[in-house]
Amino acid sequence: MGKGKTAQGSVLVVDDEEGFRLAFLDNLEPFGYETITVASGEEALNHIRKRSFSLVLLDGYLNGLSGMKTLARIKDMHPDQPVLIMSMMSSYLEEEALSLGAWGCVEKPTDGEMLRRLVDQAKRSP
Amino acid sequence: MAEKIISEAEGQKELAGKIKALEKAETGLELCRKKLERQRTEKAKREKEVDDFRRAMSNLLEDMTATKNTLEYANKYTTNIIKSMPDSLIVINPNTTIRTVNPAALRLLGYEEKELIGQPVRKLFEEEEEEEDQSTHSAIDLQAMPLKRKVIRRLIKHGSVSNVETIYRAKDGTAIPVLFSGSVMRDKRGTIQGIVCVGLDITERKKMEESLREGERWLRIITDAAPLLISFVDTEERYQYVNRKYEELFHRPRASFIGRHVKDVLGSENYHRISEHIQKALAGEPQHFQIRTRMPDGKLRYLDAVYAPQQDAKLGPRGFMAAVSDITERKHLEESLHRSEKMSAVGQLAAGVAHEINNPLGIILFFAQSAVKKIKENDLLALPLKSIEREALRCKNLVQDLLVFSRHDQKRVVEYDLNEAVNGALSLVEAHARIQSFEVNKELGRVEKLWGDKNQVQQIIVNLCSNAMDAMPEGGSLGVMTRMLDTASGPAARIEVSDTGKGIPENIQNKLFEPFFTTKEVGKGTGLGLSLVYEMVQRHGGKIDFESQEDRGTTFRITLPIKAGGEDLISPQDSLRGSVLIIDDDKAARRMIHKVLRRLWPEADIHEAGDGFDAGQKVATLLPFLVVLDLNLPGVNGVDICRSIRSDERLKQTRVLAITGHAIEESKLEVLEAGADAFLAKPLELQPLRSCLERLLKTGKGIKEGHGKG
Repeated sequence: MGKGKTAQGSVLVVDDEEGFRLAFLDNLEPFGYETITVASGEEALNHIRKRSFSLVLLDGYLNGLSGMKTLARIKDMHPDQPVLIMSMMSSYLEEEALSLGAWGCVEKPTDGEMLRRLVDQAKRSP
Repeated sequence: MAEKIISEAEGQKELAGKIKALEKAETGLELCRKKLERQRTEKAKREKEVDDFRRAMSNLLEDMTATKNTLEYANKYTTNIIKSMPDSLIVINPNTTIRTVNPAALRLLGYEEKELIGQPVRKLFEEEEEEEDQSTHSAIDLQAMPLKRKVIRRLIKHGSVSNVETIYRAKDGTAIPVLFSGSVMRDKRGTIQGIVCVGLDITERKKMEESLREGERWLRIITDAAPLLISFVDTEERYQYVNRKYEELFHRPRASFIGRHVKDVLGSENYHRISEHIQKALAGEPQHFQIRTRMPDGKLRYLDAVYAPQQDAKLGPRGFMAAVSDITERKHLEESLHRSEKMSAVGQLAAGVAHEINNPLGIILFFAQSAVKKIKENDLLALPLKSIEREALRCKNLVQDLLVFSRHDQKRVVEYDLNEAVNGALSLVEAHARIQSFEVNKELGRVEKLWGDKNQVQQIIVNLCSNAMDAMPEGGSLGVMTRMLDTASGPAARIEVSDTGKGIPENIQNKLFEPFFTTKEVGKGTGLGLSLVYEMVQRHGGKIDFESQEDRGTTFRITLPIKAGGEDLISPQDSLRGSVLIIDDDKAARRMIHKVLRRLWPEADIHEAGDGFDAGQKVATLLPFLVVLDLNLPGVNGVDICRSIRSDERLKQTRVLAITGHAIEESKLEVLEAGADAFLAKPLELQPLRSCLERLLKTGKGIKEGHGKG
């Protein structure tokens, strides 16, 4: 894993809220992480088809293709792709997300520093 | 011619003789005549005497005829009476044979007269007499007490008995109940001449009595089966009949109600509330009303009462039949239906709004938190940014509360210790209580382990306690009690939270659990606390109610069933080979994890390590496929152990399940950061542990290559 173009790693942010996309971008890009933000599951799958990321930050509740369906498709294509579900009310999703192979399921928002440490850990993961 | 002269003399002589004889005869005749005369007189005298005698005899005869007529009449009279009397009459000789029986008796007993006369009277009483000495009788035998020697003794002693119920035996063997009267006939010297027995056939009366009794029994059965309080109250307002519900409610036998005044039974307070209805019912006006009242068991209940007046055509009002049903459950159901409609409306609203509010809120929070991290303590913007963060967090918590109402969330059912949960909740409350000088009285009894969502149960307790404290602005005492309870559906746990505050006014008591109902100032309460409590209790299959007295305080009572669902359904998995290592300093925790693992994978090779050193050694030698790791080991950093596992090439396939002391979000992130595959918060609960282990090994690399989707 860790095929990102920068040394810090690559992150795909999937969130239909522009505010969150901006917030993730604001907390990752300035710190040297390659960050791609998309607003839907379909767009995310387009990227996953082409490449892998150190970590996919996936909103659990997406409009259109739902978060859980997107997760399942990603895992179908790349079982080893770490996907972290970040969501409001994450506890409702946790069980399903983990059984679908998510790396974790955590409550959104989290502070930027922790976010970056998580990306680092995901990158180190086998 | 000579002959003629000679003959003359001789003739003379002869004549003189004849004259003399004639004279003699004349004298004799005279005597005879006198005698005859005398005899005639005598005869006349005799004839008179005879005549007199005859006359006397005739008189006598007349008298005798009259007497005979009288006697005959008397006899006829008696016989007629005896013959025509409707009651059976039997006269018994001193030697106990039957002397007389009247037609009524023959009809009654089915005998011919000749079959009875001279027969021992035992024939009619026989069996009963034999039964006499059996001192033990069933109740029914006593009811139909036969003619006994006792009765005979009384009869002989007192000369008569009257109206004793006994039984005659008819010819065909039928037992005939009679009302028996008898008297003893004695002569001047007191010798018994016979006994007169009169028996009134009371078969019909007995039947009627029986059918009355039967009717009464049916009335009882029917009224007792009805889930109502049924009574009959007479014009003096006294109970004439009550059904079993009265006995149950008042814990008194029903006989003790009969004749007692309504006021005595219900208490004057209740009586005054219904006396108007009683008056109207007694005046013939049917009543139907509902009333909320305190019952003898101290519980407030909703009652629905119907009074049906009973009128007698001749005698006027006789009283009224009261049928009172306890509609408390129905009322509660109505209320709860009303409430749940409101709840589900709130839930839908919450679910709809939450997403919309949650995201902008999250973004605000995200940026606020980032900004707070970047800024220095003394920066002018530090306070405003921290305030934004804090308030956004508050909003987020409110939205979370609202979401309990939407059906989205899932309960996390685990086995837990209620007292532990209570203590945990109280630790939050007690700090607050100390500041506000509350006294906290804990009374935690022995309670069985419960199944349910421990977090929700704690939230219930915290909410109730914080409400209780709000009810006592001037301080007071907060009581928390737990114990076991036997309910209709089995054993359950009872939690009581009581305060000594101002109490809940009656007019708002039924609104208490409604969402958004609050008595607190705007901004001080959301009005969700108690409705959340209600909702959570419901989801546990429990019940909540409360009792409140003004200025005395309020007690909330919660009943939680032992099992709220979520059984221990561990099923063994496909065999897995390899070793598993449990690293935990708590022996009990190790044993529990061991047990779960053993049931999931019967063939796994399970090892335990109690400290960091042991753990390091075992990890290196066993190369386990699964490590269950307590992150809070004394002296060693669990995160370090985790990192070392992650850095060992040989342990690439190893799954790490981290156990943390706290369920908070930060530690979760920390665990993920350390490289663990999953985490669980202490105290460990069976169900989550099991599903977590299952999930881990299903999606685990090396265990199941390829698709992550299990």
